[in-house]
Amino acid sequence: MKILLALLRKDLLIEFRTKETIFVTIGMAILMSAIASVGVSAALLPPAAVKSVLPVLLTLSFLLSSTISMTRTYEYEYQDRPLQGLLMSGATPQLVFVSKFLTNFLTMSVGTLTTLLGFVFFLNLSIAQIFLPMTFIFGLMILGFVAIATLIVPITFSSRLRGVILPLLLLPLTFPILFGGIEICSSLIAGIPLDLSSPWISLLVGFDVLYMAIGMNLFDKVVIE
Amino acid sequence: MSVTPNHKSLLTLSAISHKFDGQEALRGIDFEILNDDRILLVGPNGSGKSTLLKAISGIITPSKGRIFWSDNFISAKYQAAYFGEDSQLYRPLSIEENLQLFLDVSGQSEDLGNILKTWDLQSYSKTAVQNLSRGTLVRASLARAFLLNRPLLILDEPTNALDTSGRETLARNLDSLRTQNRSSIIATHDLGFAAGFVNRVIAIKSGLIKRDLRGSFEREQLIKIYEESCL
Repeated sequence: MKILLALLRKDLLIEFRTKETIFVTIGMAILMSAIASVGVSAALLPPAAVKSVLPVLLTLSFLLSSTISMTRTYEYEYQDRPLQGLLMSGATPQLVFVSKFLTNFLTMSVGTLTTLLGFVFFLNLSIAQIFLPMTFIFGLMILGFVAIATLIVPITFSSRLRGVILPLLLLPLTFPILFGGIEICSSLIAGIPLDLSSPWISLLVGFDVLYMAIGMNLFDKVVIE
Repeated sequence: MSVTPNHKSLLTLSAISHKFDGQEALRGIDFEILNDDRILLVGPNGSGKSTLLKAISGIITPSKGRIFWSDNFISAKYQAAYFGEDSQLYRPLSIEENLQLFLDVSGQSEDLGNILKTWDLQSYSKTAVQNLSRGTLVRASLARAFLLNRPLLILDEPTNALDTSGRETLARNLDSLRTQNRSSIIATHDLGFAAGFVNRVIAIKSGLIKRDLRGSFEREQLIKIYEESCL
């Protein structure tokens, strides 16, 4: 536990000092919501139609900002190879994974919340009644996305084309999570209350657990050598 | 110096070979490191010194051969403390934060203030690693390697970028290893620095061990060994 806390402190401290991931995430969130609102206004869509495309817009925005910001999360682990030093000092790859996962989850959550608020502001939407269930669903989506992305990003570091390869690897793997999230959010917007026993929730939770387990168990293969 | 029963085996390298992009960097290296060995590894550029040290430290896995640590006689990774070309420090964090992190992760409770004093780093302790001069960065990285309480310390070109005071600090810390019952293996072209400290010299050329001698060595002797084995 002491090792995990030390790693977590390190990851949060680096993020606090550099502010790179959070700036990219929030900056992209604001830009995406502003651009989408201009597009939606230009299309002269009625408020109900705008509401119905919100989950897709939100998911696309989350996907873009998260994929871009995730590429930065290992930047300082590979400059001068301190990650190698930590593993040589007794940190297990599993603990490194958990620490990175928690930090990424936190920054992606802040980014997604900003995106959601940005859309509400720019599109002048009223989603007060479904705000909490929607946040919960996006929380589940971020959980699975971040778990698999935390595993995949270090793989792309050995490639010159890492910026290109990451979305190519990440999109097919996260498709079930994103699709499930959009389905549930669309139902919420249509006025159907959140049903925790729905197959879509099971799908989201199932992929979250699966990707966490894969991440924890394969991370050593990815970071050692 | 002859090997007596008091000298215990620390690790054994058995037929270590390693290839980089089809080129053989190491070609069947065999030797044993004892618990009180202070080894100087010499050889020309590209002879395989760094590759050998990385293999011993666990950073790379050799293409062929095994490394056996005497405690468990299994091939184990990360049993040694290592200083190499990368500082292994986080650039946005200060020296103090970096060293505390490595202490916490290794489960050690040494006094950080003492470590900073030992390496003459007190005045830079709050400075972010990315703002350090090369010499100070090397000292901070050496402090990181030395603080890890491991039976073997591996140093790859530790005197590069160090000024006279830095070299003296390093020499003092190397000397203290004798009382801590820790072995060391140093790769350096700075033979004058190594003379008087090492008790074993291994000369390597083209991935093969050319000489493996024990004893105490003066600078001139080390130069002679290097010239005879490596040129």
